[in-house]
Amino acid sequence: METLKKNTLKDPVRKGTCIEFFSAYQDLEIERMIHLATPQATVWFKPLGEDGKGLLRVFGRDVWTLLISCFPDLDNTIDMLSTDGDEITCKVSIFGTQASEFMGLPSKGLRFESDHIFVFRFNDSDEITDLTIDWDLTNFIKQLS
Amino acid sequence: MIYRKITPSPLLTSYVECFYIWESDVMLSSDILIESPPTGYTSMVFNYGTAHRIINNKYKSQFTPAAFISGQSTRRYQLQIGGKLGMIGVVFKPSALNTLFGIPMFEITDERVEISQVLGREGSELYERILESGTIQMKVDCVEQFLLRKVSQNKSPFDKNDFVSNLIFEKKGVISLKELQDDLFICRRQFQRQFLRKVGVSPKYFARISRISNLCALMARKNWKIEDWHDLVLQYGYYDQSHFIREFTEFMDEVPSVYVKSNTELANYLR
Repeated sequence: METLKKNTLKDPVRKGTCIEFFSAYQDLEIERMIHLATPQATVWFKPLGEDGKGLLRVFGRDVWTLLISCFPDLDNTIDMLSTDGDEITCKVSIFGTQASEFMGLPSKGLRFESDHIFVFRFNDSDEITDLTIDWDLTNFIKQLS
Repeated sequence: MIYRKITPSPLLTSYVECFYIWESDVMLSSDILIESPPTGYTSMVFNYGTAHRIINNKYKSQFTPAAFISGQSTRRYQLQIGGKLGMIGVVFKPSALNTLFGIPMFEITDERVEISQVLGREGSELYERILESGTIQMKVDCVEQFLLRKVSQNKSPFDKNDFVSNLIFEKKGVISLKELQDDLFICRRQFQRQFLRKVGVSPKYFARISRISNLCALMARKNWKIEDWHDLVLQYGYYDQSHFIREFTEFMDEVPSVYVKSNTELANYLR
């Protein structure tokens, strides 16, 4: 008879890492965010398609640097976290006010608030090895246009 | 099938919504599925009958531990029960498990965790005492005494987060969180971090769960015979029918019109 497994320390530790990631994001400290991942960790900003893939410590750093410079008050709220094997899915609300042009979108000083889904994958040492981020890009653009 | 709710001691009402006893006097000849919307509550369950299974987004069909603590549910779930039912449960107010036991609730959202893993030896001893108690009243007394002791030993006072989570639920999730934060002079970031720890989800997400929970309870009271959907949509603060259907489907995996016709909530078995 298979019973729900005893919760190992892994899930709480990994959830803690996710919370630390979003806490660093709130503090706009990109180095703190990316150093929770291995040097080889990958990131995929899903709505950007193949162009949205890269190394988390390189491409991720570039994207978050751009985001923070264009939305200086960028902030987030974790709605919930759930685990499934080596994955942790975080539903997160991201919001901010546009202060300068972002990926061809001229700034109108408008505020956006967008539900994002972050899926973190971990290795046995509980470091992030991969991150996929998904959101409604059309709605995001609509809010800023 | 007998399902009986029991009112807790007045000293527990800030923490405990109710106790319940769920038993069957005969062996169920085949397994049945009982489903539940996310309720906004958390619980502690002690099973002294046949083991049952949980089916939710994460677990396709797995036996629950015999005695467990369950965190906030964020989606509809089903219990597969059979044999001879026998369990006693404590339904906790949204933040009470954190206030009384210090559990970071985001760690157990959508989970059922063996009681000894959370409460250690005192959890297993409590379960043993319940198994040894001969009558329902003795089992209830056993749990109640344990909780009263916990309340009296509790060093972290009932704080703003407890108050806010209970208020969101009482208001059925139809409440302006911004106004609430302003009225209580709470810092948004700090409030959200503490709330996630105390309840397991964000205040906004909890308000959505509270709305669905209260809405489903109302539908059950009406025997799922809804004459005026429009009135229901407005009463629960949804912008329009489409917003309501989207929200309902996200939490319940089915559109409302299908759910009212084919759900297998416990109330169907208690008439």
